[in-house]
Amino acid sequence: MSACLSTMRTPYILVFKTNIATQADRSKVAPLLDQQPFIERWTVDMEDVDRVLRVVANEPATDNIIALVKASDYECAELED
Amino acid sequence: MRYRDENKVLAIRESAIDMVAKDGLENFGINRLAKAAGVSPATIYIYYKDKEDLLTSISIEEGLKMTRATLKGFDPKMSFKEGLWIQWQNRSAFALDNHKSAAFFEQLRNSTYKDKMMETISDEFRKNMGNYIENAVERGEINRMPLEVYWSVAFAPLYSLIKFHNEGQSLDGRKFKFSEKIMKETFDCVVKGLSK
Repeated sequence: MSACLSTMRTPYILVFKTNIATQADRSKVAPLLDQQPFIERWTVDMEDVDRVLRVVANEPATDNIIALVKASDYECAELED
Repeated sequence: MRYRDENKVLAIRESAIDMVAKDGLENFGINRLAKAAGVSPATIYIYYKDKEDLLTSISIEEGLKMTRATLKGFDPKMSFKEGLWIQWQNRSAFALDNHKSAAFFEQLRNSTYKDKMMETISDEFRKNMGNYIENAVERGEINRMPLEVYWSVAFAPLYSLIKFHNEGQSLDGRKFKFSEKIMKETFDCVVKGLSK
């Protein structure tokens, strides 16, 4: 039973500062992010100055996500506390 | 990995209600909210995906809190007078304890969040209120009348008293403080007005 409990996973919520500012920008990043099996869902707050990318993932794959966004020619850095 | 911290969630919610109640929606933003709540913007994004998500989620929670408070101890089978008095007590207690939440709703009422807010007025609430009125009409306690007429007579007087109280003054700058006695006196006039 304890083994059962220990495998229950809560999702990781990862937030990043980006320059994804418009719908057009968003659609350029979308294909790569949508393809990743470890990403459950993601959103970009384009109203905010930091254009915050918020990813709900089942792995703490911060570096991975930064690499994916940068591969689409956009800036991406972890939004620090 | 960051864990959900209920104290932070509360601080975010309270500050958001405060800010919107005071300054409205126009200048409301995640960064300003973060400063007011004493958390980082990153923390707010852990819980909410954007400003809209945050305001929607808070208005749903506040709406549920309000309708639950209004129905406390209320039964649609009650006599008209008894049922109305319980609602006056519940509504005044909620409005006085949560005047910021009331001001928050007032700001949202004129915005695109209105629909979300209306959804929170649950079917249960509508059904209870509808049955209560229907029973009162059938028992011959009150006349059938349009909802607007009923609400304006049954509750608007109470909200006027609460408004006077929140402003600390009534007409011509007369000092005013809400009390159970004043509420009862107003209530008696309302019941007289609505009773057949």
